[in-house]
Amino acid sequence: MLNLMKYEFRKSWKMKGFVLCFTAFFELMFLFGVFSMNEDVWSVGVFGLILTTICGLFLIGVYSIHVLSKDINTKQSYMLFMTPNSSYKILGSKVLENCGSVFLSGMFFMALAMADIMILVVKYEDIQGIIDMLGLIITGNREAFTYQTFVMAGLDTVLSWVYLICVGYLAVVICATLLNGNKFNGLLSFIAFIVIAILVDKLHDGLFGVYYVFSSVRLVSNVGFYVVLTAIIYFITAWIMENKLSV
Amino acid sequence: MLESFEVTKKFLGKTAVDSISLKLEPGHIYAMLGPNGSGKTTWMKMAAGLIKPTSGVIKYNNVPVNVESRKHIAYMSTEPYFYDWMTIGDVGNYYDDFFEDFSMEAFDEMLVEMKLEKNLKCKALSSGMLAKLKVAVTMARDAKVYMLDEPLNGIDLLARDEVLNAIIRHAGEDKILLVSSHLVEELESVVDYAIFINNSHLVDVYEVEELRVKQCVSLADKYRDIYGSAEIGGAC
Repeated sequence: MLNLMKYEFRKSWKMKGFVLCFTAFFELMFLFGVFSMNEDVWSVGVFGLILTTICGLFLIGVYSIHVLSKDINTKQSYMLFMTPNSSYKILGSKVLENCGSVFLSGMFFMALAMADIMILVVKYEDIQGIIDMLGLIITGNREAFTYQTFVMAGLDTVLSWVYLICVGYLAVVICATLLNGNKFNGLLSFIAFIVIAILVDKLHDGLFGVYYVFSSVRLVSNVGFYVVLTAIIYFITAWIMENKLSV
Repeated sequence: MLESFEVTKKFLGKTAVDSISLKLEPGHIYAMLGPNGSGKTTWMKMAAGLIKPTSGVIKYNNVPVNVESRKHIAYMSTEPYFYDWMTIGDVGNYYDDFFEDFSMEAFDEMLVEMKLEKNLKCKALSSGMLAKLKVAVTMARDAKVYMLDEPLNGIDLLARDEVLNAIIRHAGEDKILLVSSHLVEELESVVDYAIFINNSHLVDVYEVEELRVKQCVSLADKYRDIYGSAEIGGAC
């Protein structure tokens, strides 16, 4: 399993390296702006960091779906499927590597954001007022915007993204197996992806809609909800691969 | 022992392999012969566990081929399949990571024989070099079953000799070697049995020595007889 994960990381490290390079660039810009007291520069840095965080997490997920598609639809599939590893292990290594990458990146970006906020607080005494304002805008409740809420909301975002990537895996596998040979298999599997995402969203709203978005009950429940869903989607996808996939 | 029981594979209504029953026993080298599209590759892929039969079953040592049997069956596809980012050395490391029977020493020796350098990128290799690399990495395994799909394609005469020598070197009492190729004459001196496949069906399995001694027919003549219209045979 570790060997499989090692090679999964090897397939995507260049793209992850690019994301890190962009992060480093904007972080340096931010720090330069803060220490030179140049608000324009650090504002651009902050904007760049937010953009890199969103795009970075998005890219890591989408790229992993692209890698799976390549791994089951091209001749490179032999590299994986002629090894003595079951589809459960092969897919598991992809999910874990991707989960690890998204999770670590998410945590890294959150830690970076917190560190940057602290630097701003130290450097600009009135920045706390801006943070409070941000909290009010984002959460609608000044008290709700604590570091704990920030971390939990970040964790929820990361886990919901991992779950969505797993749905992407399922769509790719359905396309290559159950819909293989169908002229519209790409479109149909994309529709399947959208339908599953919408249904789960409805289910989520039905279960947790009554709770305030940033309440601890909802944030903690979300974690469990997405972990269970990710596990279910993983088992369904791996089962289809094991029993229906021909490479 | 590798056995195929009434194995059929259909792709979108087209039958690629139709009810093939076969038994391959250890200690022999088999040639799988047939024109393009006859079903050789599909059968091999099913035996390697890469594709699933529509019906029938292929068993290795009385157990349907599965993840476990991949530890003992070394399959070499006719198409290049290495990751683009890999160097020749990475390919060796990859096999070393996944196959307990892989010998890095044997791999290194074959690279020297085939004049391949470890630092070369796979995507920069010519088709002949890729073909040699596929053979080297597959034969560096100490597997029980080797299935080589068109190993002689795209390589020069000297490299063909190296590949054939590697095949002979790996033959043993406990090993099954199955080689598909269009170069029938070159295989004739190496193989014990020839499996003829045509239009997804098994035509027959012939013992090469028996063909030569009893029927006074070479493997190439038999091939022409089955797939062409030439009349063959005569006094030995």
